[in-house]
Amino acid sequence: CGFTPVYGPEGNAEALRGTIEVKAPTNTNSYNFVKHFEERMGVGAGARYSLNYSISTKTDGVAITQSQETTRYNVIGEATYTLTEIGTGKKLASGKVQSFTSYGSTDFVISTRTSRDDAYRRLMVILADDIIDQLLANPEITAP
Amino acid sequence: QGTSVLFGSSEHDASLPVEVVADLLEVDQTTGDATFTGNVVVGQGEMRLSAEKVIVEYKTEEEQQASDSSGKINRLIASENVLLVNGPEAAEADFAEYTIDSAEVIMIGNVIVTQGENATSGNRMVVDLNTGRAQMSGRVKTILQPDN
Amino acid sequence: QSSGASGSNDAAASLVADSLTVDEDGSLVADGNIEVVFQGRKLTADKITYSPKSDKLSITGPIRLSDGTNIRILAEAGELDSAFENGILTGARLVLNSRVQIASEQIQRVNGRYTQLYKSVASSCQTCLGNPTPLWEIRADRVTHDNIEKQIYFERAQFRFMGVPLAYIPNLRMPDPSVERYNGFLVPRAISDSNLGIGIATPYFITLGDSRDVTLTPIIATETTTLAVRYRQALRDGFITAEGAVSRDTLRPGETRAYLFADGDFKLPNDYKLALGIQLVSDRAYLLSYDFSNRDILVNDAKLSRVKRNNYVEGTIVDTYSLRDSVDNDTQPNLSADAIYERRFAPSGVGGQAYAKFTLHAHERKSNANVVGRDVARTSFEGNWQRSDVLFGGILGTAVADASFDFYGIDNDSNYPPNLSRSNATIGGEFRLPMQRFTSRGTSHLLEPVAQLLYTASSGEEPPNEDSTEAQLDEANLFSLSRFPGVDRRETGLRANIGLKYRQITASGWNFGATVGRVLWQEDTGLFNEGSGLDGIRSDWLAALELSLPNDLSFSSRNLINDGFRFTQSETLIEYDKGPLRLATGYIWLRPEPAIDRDTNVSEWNFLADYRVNDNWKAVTDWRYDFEAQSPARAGLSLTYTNECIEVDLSISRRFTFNDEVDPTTRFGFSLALLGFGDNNSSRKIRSNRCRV
Repeated sequence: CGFTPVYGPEGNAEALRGTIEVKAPTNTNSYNFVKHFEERMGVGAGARYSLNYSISTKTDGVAITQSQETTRYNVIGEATYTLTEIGTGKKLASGKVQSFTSYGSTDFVISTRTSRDDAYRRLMVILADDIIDQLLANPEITAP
Repeated sequence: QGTSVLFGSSEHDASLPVEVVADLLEVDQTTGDATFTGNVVVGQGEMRLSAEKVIVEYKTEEEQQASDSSGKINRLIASENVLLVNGPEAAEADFAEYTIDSAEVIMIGNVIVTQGENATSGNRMVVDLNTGRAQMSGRVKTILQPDN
Repeated sequence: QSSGASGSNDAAASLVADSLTVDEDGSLVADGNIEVVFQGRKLTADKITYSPKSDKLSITGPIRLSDGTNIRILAEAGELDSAFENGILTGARLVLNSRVQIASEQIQRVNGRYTQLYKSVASSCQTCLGNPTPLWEIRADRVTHDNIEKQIYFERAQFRFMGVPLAYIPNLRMPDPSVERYNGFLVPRAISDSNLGIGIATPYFITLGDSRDVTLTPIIATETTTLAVRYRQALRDGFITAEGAVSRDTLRPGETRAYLFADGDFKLPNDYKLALGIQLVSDRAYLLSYDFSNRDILVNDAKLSRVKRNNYVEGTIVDTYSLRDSVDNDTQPNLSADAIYERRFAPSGVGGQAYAKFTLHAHERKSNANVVGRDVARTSFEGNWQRSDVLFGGILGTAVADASFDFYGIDNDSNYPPNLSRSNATIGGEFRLPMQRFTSRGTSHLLEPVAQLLYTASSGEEPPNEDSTEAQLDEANLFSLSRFPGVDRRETGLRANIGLKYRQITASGWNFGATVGRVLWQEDTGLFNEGSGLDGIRSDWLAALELSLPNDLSFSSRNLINDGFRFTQSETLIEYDKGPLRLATGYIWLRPEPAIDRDTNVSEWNFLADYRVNDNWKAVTDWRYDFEAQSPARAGLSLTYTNECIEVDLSISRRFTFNDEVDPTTRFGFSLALLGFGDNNSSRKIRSNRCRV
């Protein structure tokens, strides 16, 4: 059916495993983004590509009861990225990904707070996964 | 009279004799014009006109009779690094033409008049040495210097 | 060659003209395209006579004088000194920051600082030949512009709207358009609100030095007198902001109502950051009735954190106070403290990546009654290792091993021993087979089946569930060790996470993504709430779709569908932003989840549209419709007219609230701003209406 494994011989992902150096994190969100990206794409000594990114998030209250109690929040996020080749500085790929996660805001104070932090962490996981998908699906990034 | 005018603050007498000093002189037999070249300095009273090349045009016979002045020179045409000095003012230009009888000097090309630190530049200047009136044109640039 | 022609000694002005004549009396007569420049000030005119004796330029126009900052004077004739500091211009117009124009018979320049205009008309509205009267104008006997203080003073001023005199103001001061921060009134707002009555809010802005300012907004209305305050301070390594208000109103006669929200962020040495937050309010209804905030919980917290690539450190102390009617704060774990230390490293020899995470948590309830007054302290340690390798046929295999140990100290709850501990050990494997296909038209497809098999052995007692009362299933945690957000509950037993991801990216930038998956447990652990889509032996199907067109449409939808093909949860967000229209709409459907007090369905539609009708008109409408209650929850419409000199804002919004404290509110807003004075976001494109000749 025309599909070839990305990590197979003709695929292009082999070149990316362990060779992408992601920009260092500066806050909780970027820490979780970098952690998941490196867990999936590996951390190699010989980095040949550098991934620059910028993440922005906003929250939106939904499921608001008649007595104006917000029972659920959406965390809406967007990340733009550029992948450049370290040696030449050539820009190989760039793009934007966006998604949202949500968490319940209930009477349980501690649970609401851990759910909120987890929702932000999950959003970073989705944004990292979407960027990895775009890189794996990008024909220009050819194997060495 | 004492006020500072752009040019020729002291009286100028166009009837004074004109002396010319230069490295080389050539005389054109047919027109009778004399061409001085090389560090030419033309003097008349207070005024000095220096240039690399000055052509002295003499009046023809008819012009001699027609004009009431006794002077035989009709015009001086100076070119290359022309500098006209008259009392405290100096004017430079690429080319100048001094008609003796009408005491009018026309200077053309990068005309710069300096008077103390006040400098005025333009493309063309006409000076009436008798009245001191000077008119400059062609993107004239000057410094407004109040008399304090 | 003598020194440069202009000999630019900046003490004297330089003049350029088509021709220059020097008269017998020494005065210069310049003619044609004249430009006089003096230290950044420039004057252009047709004819100038300059007499050195009196240093007077007598000028015939059209004259344009600009002093290099934001002032320009246009005049027909006049006399100035060569520094343009003193003198009179007639038939003149003063133009400030190319926005405000003050026309007057005569303009006088005094010491280069003051520009005085007599019998003047000031307006920032464009006047056309067809209708010379500007939309609004301020006529004054005398207008003085102070170039140092950047203020405009009007004396015996009269405000006219469409030529009709509306107000007489003995003297009036306004900042000139270049001013960004200056003490003074900001744009007043008229409000009419079914709670607060009819009134006016007049914000006053005060600068306290370069890095601090405070805005005081007295709100005088029929039902309330309120003072709202906003304070901002920028520090070298951080900033502080605080907002608050204090009111006496008829809603709660005899009571002083107030609120304060403040927060500060500070950078500390070696990459530590400190964030502080304070939130106090006299009563919740105060926030809602005055539309200060719809927050239903107050959070006072201090958070110290340091983030590095392989090391995360965080310490927080939080004291919360719930404003919900349904909550008794004495039995809420309002005071809590947390500490997290995580280190990521690559273990030598074994390869792969690992992290060690150490967490401390403690929370305390004011009440000491049994069960409802429970206090808990916890220490946890988690070690995680995973390693991925490309196996045969392009399959990416990932092995994972995780161990966690939790030690609890529990107080005021007879159901639990004073101390208990629990340990979990997990091993698992994940197999991914990402496949790609490229078409000639440049479309790339990615298809990735994923299967993850996990087994967790657990020993020890089960702690009270305080931090994991709710779990969500989405693409992020479909393939993860546990769907619980916290530590009090961890997934155990044998389970398989299976899923298929498809992504298509076209050359023109269309990006479509779909993820389908579910979780299968060997036996029902009963840990998940009914209605969360994760209960039972098999989770609901997760179906997530995402479509984005290059920079104008984005659509994302996440659904949990049970085996009977009925939606347990469904949420869809659409954002469209192209040209004059910006649209954001969302629909959410949730089945009841009694464990977290959601006893009825949630079916809610949010809609926001921001449409720029033309250069001058903009309409914004937003509403929230509650299908379950068959009624809108909130609706708002606002119309804004803006041109180069006026901004009129008309808004109406209604909140349909049914709770005993706050009744439904309708709020009308009207504000009229004269543009051009003060730098009211002049970065906005100025739309001046063109004269239809």
